[in-house]
Amino acid sequence: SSGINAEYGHLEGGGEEERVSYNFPLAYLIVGLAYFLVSVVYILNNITRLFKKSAVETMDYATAYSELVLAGWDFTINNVKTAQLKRNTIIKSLKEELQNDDQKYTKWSLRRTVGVICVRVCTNIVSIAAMAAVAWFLTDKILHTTSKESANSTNECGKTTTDFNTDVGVDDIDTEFIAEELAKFWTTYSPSIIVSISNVVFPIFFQILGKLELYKFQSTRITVTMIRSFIMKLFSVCIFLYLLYQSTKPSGGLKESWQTNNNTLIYNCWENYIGAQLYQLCIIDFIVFSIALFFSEVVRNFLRNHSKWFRDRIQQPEFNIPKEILDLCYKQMIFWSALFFAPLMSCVAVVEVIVIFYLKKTSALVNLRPPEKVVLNSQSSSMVNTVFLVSLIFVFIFLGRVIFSYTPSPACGPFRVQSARNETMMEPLSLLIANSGGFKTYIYDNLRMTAVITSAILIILLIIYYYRSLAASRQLTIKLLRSQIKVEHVDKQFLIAHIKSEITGKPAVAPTRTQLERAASDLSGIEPGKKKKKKKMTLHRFANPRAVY
Amino acid sequence: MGQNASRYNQDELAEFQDLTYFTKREVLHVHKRFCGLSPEKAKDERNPVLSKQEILSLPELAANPFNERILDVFSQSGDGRMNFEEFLDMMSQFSSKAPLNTKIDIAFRIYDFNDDGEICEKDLEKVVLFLIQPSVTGGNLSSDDRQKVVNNVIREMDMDDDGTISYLDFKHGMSKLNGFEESFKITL
Repeated sequence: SSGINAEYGHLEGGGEEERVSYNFPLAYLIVGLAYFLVSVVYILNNITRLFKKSAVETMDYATAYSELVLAGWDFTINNVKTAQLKRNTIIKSLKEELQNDDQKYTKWSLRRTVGVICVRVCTNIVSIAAMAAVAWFLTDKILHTTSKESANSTNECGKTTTDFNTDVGVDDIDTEFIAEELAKFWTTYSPSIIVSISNVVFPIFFQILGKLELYKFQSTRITVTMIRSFIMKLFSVCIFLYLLYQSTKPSGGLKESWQTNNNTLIYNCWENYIGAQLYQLCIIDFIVFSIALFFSEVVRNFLRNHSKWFRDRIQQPEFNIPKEILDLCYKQMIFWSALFFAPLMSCVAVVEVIVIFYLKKTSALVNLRPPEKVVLNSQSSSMVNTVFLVSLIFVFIFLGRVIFSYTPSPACGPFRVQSARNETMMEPLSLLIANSGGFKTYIYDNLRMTAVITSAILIILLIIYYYRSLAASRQLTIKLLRSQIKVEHVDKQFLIAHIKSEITGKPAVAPTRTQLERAASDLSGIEPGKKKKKKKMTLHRFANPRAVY
Repeated sequence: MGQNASRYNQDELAEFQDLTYFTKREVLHVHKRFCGLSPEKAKDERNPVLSKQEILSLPELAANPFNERILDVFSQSGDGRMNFEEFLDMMSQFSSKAPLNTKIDIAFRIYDFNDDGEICEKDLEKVVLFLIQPSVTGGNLSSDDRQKVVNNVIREMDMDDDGTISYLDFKHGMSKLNGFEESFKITL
């Protein structure tokens, strides 16, 4: 056999003949759910902490320039080469900020605007078409493979993958056999291969699309490309999970109808099937990733070093932090979905992540140049955590559906008792709560009602709205206080001028009209509840009239 | 190390520990690095005063664009020559144990090139010039761009709108920048 064996199938226990009373299904369920609960709490914690930090930075004035000039130099640098790199980074960032400021005030002609909008609509359609193509291909492969596989595989419990026909004698090798084997290989592994390849190829494709779209600011372009790549990855994994769900769902919901389909064998161990598919996806993704790493970094650098023709045309690849983070998030999502069905996935994931880290590190040190613009700050860290949370939510949807409404498989796994009784996997937990004392049962029974949950959601939304208006009013207060500082400064100067005039006997100089106007200019723009009129002028509200753009 | 360690007895080391953010062991380590900058002077004199060039040979300071200004700020004589106590004081204020307020304070003194108590446009121009240090190999900003950058920094940091960054403006602005505390330290 091809040897992909999810460990889930080997777990035993839960049978009613067990003498030692260890409620294995309950333990399995609780450990799994507890792990996910801990993940959610941890991610939410990170998001709130980082969001608070970033809100402090950005809620007031922008601080881009002061951050680069006054806090830009890293005093821990102690060699000349790093110092030169840092200097270049600062110069590039300053240039980019200046460019952004210039771009803010340039207006495009009508023709150009229309042209750009057309291009952007086209590129969006192309991206959606790409995702749809992947989805169609996956549907074709997974839903049709299932029926083929069950016709091919052997009758052994726990092994659901296609068995290569080992009865063929060693001396009977001819091209037909090889073609047949390749076809079998393709039908087994193609979903995972397609998903992995699309996740490697499409980000590059989206980068090219982004260049075509001619965004005003480089940061917008990078953000849009990142969002597209992320949606692509999320979408492909979600489609994969959804198709797994579809292919293992009993049609009609009756146990008997399973046996009439070709899916009998999968039904016998459907958790194994899901675990095996996800495990396959993980491994193949790793292989595709290593191949892609080899070609995009090692080969490229090799060609650049040894041939002038390449050096002129192809740039040295850059260490792209957001892309690496999205890769990590994608792997984490696969790992989360697979965890419940293949517990040994955790070991595999740890080993894989360590190997990837060292591979990427050596490749980056040798082949890549350092990133031109420093990206990491608390704002992007909180966005990264949000990305993790979103993918976790999708995984929850999938897992929830499986745990709460499927009957577990009768032939393998710790939930065989539940399968015999035709109940879902949640049954041990709900039994525990139902049996344990009145108050808990009362809460459990009543809290699950739709009415309670809906009103809870409404109350939470109201609270969110309240806090949001509180935050908006606080921003208003900040603006008022800032203009108060300016007014008080003018006041102070006036008083000092008076004191001077008392001392020296010369007449005092009143604050000039322009000074007063400038100090009060912020106040005039602030009126709660009134909508700001769009100004066509180049000065925005906080502009210093003396500043040069 | 033995000869240098015996130069300061336990009382003096304890005093150093109280006055700075260092422990006794770190004080001795700083002393070792200090004497290593100029071994002859360390042997001859009890309380050596190193010249600016000798201190600038320290690798942690050599790569820093503001190194000369740092020495000017911390040396009592104002021309960059320092004895061990001034050096220890400087290193202690730059260490990771110094609180944020101390760091903001020394940053303000460093950036205030004409020592008039506030960072004006000319100071900022010097800061930008030192930071960028136009050279043949690296990039460069035109003087127009530099002027724009200086104006933008003043616009962002100046709260009372008098055209210069006072100490309070600076303190308020720096406490908002999250990366400052991490990057503003020198460890030996």
